[in-house]
Amino acid sequence: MAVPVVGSSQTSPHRPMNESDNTTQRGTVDQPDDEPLTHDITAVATTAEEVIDNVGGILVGHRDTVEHVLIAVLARGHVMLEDVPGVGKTMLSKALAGSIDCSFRRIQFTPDLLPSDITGVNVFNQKTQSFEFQPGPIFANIVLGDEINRAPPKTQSAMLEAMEEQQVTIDGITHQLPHPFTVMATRNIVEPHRTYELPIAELDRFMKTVKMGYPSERQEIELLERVVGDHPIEELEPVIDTEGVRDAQIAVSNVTIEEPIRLYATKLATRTRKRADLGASPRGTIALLRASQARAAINGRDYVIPDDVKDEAVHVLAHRVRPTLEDSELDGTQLVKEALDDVPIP
Amino acid sequence: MGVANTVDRFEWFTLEDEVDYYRVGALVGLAMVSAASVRMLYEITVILGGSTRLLIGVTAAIIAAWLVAKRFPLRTALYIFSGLVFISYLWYFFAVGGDLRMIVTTPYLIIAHTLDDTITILTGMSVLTIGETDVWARSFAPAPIFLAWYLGFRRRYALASMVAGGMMLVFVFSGDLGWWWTLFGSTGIVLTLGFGAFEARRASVKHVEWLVIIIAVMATTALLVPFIPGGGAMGPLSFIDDDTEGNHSTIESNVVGSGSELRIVGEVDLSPTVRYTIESSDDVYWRTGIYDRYTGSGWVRTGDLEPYTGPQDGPESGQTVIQDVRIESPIDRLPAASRPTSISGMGDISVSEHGSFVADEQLEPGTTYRVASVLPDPADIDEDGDYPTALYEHYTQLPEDMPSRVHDVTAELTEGADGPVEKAQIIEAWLQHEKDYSWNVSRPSGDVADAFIFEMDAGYCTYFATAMVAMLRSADVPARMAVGYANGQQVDDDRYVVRGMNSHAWVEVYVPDAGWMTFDPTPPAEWSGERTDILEQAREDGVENVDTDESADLPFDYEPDLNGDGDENDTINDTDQNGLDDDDQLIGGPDDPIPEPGAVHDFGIDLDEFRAQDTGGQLPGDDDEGVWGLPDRDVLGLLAIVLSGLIAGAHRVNAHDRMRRQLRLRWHRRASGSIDDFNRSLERVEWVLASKYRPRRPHETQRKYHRLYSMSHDDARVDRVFELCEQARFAGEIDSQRAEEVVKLTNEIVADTVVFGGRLLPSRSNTAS
Repeated sequence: MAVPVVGSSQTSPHRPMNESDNTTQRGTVDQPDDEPLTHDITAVATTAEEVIDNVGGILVGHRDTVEHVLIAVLARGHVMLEDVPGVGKTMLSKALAGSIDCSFRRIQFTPDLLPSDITGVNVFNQKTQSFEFQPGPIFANIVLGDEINRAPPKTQSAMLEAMEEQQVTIDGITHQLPHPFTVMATRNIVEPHRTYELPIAELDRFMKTVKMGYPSERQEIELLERVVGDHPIEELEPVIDTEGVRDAQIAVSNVTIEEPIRLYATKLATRTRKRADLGASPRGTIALLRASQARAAINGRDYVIPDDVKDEAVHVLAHRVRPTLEDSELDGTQLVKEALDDVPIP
Repeated sequence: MGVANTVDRFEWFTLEDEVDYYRVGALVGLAMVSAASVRMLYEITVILGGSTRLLIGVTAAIIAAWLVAKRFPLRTALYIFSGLVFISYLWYFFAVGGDLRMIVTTPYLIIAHTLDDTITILTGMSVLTIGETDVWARSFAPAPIFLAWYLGFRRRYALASMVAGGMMLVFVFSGDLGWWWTLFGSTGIVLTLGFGAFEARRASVKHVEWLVIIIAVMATTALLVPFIPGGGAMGPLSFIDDDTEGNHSTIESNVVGSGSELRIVGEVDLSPTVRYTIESSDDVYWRTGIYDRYTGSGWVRTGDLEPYTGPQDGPESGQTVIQDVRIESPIDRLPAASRPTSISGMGDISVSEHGSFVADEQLEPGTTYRVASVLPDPADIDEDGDYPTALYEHYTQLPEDMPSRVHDVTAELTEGADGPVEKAQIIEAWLQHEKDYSWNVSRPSGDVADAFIFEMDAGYCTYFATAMVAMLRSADVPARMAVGYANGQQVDDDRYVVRGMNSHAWVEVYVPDAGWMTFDPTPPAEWSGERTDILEQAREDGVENVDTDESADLPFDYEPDLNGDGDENDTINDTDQNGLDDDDQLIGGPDDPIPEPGAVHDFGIDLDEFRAQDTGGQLPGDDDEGVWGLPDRDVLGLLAIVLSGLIAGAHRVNAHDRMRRQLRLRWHRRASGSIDDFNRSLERVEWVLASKYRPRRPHETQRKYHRLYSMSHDDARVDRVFELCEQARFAGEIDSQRAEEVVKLTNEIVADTVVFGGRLLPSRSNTAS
């Protein structure tokens, strides 16, 4: 989405060197006059800051993680939270949903979970003598799929359409999912014998993988102080409504990506394919650029710079890269880091 | 058999429908090594004849190698190679006079003979010194060429270069291959090995550049270190001017030196030291050696020495001359009149193939010996007689590249002459009349005989003799050059004192039935004059060993009254002026059909006519004139190698990119209004910051780098340049105003930091606003 440059520079040839001021003007130029001027990058940045602070009030530490998850929401992607149980994955999801005034549903994946348990079913209503659709737990703005790899492939496939098309089809009838829609999934990686391998196609649909990690000692003490007793999640107030989130998503999708950045992302993806059985897919490259847009936006910038791509690359690409068997000691993260070291910065 | 081997297989230049440049490179290298050897053999065959047959043989060997490589495994090729080697040695064996019975009865003799020749070559003797070199050259080439190219075609480059290199090494050791060709061949070996390895490993341009660098280093090192100790890299085929070494050789060491090669040099000195005192009934030419093979630039003696066991065959009839020789200086040559038949009073003596006696050890002064020689008898001459075929072939050999005008002028001179004697007399008289005698000449380039006849006005005995032999041979008269001593100081009726400066070169002509007869084309009067001066000078200076007791008080040109002997043509100052006894040597006298040289001035020959006729070829004088034109081939070739090495090296270190970058960094005069302004400005600012702060790390983004820089530096201009560049490059904010701003700011930053060049920039701050 190229921005007409001439307009902005004509209006103020001697603009002050204030970046935010500059971007504000550019943001307005981009929009047709009849739409409300809410796709403001500065507004996005400010809101994002508020959301992160809000979640931070509940979740001690993990500011980076919150930022990553928020970026995924703004870039209309889904997040895979990869960590051991008990570090606050559910809390993070809940807190984020609460902060952006979104509906939140949690699905616990088990080996006997059926697709209809996720999507919902048509139930015959005796009163109306007709079938009525009972929406499943997927019909929420933020869906937490807990231990997603414990469900059999058939059930997981039900997630595919939902995640990619933002819709579910039951008995031939397509139902739109709410907007915004973000799946946050967790994987059980400590009990490998009771789990299924996630299909690559499904894994590829997650925009990014985020590891939370344990809090530091000081953070953990603070956490205990805060949580034991009255849990702050009860008093969480949203800082933005869903309408605001949708506007922010539009603003993010309008962030400028210039040719050198596209080239850089492509080269990174290509480089990951060099030593791996399975490298980053073109869907991965798209996801990388969209995540970079969101990162640029929450930093108050309406154009992507290489720093954004670098910051996102590992989280967006690593889980899509499957190293060759000979290089089994390597993992995707290392390969992506190698690519970052290898590809010159534009 | 039949096991697919990925390396040992035949393929043409294509690999997956692409030209395989590595293979081409490897085979070009192989061609270079082969060319070095074949070129050497070609030179030999050019001198001795048969060059076309050699080239046909080599071409056939390469084609055969290709055909065999297509189908047959290495074992077959080795059988063929062994067969070729066997045939070539057999051929050579028959050519040097072996016959079938010897093979059956004494096979070890053949091996011994072959080994002997091989050792001769490998110990630094020119291949030209072995007998029948032309046959050797033609038969030697095909076998190794075949094997080397078979291996090359089958991608066994290491083995191929070993075979071809081994073949070249023979000539390196024999000293025939000049260092330039040695370098050429070695470069070929490096190319073959290098590209062969590259082909196997799929190397890149980078590796090829390294190869070029290695070759350049090799060439440069070759300049500093001689390849073969003992100057082996200079063969008789190279044109060596001894003058370059700062001291002149003496004519004696040059002419009668005991070596098997005689180089024709430039200016020479004369030694007045006494060598022999000879008591002889006749004043004859005392021969010490024969040179039979003319290379165009010098002479080579072929044949082996054999121990002297008893009297040798001489002419059937003829006057016998007894000579008693007392040796006065340490020397190993035994002068004797042609042709010596028996010798006594000495220890170990060897006889050369041409009939000269050679002492096996250096002889001490005081040694005496008696030698009997039989002079050819003029009565035996049969002008219509037939020459022995082998002798005729051997002694009419001329270099193939000798200009044909030598033949033409000889043909015109000897038109109407009957028989070899008359031809020889005409040529002898013509040379004596036409050319002056001088020690001070510079060695010509090209064919010496041709140069002397057409380009030079004067020369000394070697030049006269060489020219005469060449002319005689071109007229199909068997002739050779003889060296030794002549015209010693006569101190008594039959006693002569012979000094170093009496060394001389003359001509022997084969006349059917009579045998080898002596002719001397050197004008004698001028020759003796200079030597008198030298002797007198030496006597004045008190140089030792310039006189014996007998000679001390006598002037050099003292002549006893010899008329009493009844032989009035005995002395060098005789009327025919060639210093030879007429009756014995049949050289021009009062009764000869040839008029005396002094009386004849017109031979009816206009040399200019022949000079003009041959302008198509390279005139011998051309090289000298061309000195100020192009440098010679060696220098150009070396220059090319070293230059390509430098270029490859420069490319390797990206010199041109660096240079361009340095210029780009210093000057940026005008903003073009395109993205290039911003990219370049960013590059320049980063370059300035690299020295002022630190270089940006390879995987550090500009923004991060700038943020870290701005923490410690407060520089609004730099901040603004980074900002403008980021927006231009990643937000597409490019217009002429921003471009001018960024260029102006960058120029200011560069000017503040860079001393050289920066200050010269005009300040653009006035024009910008």
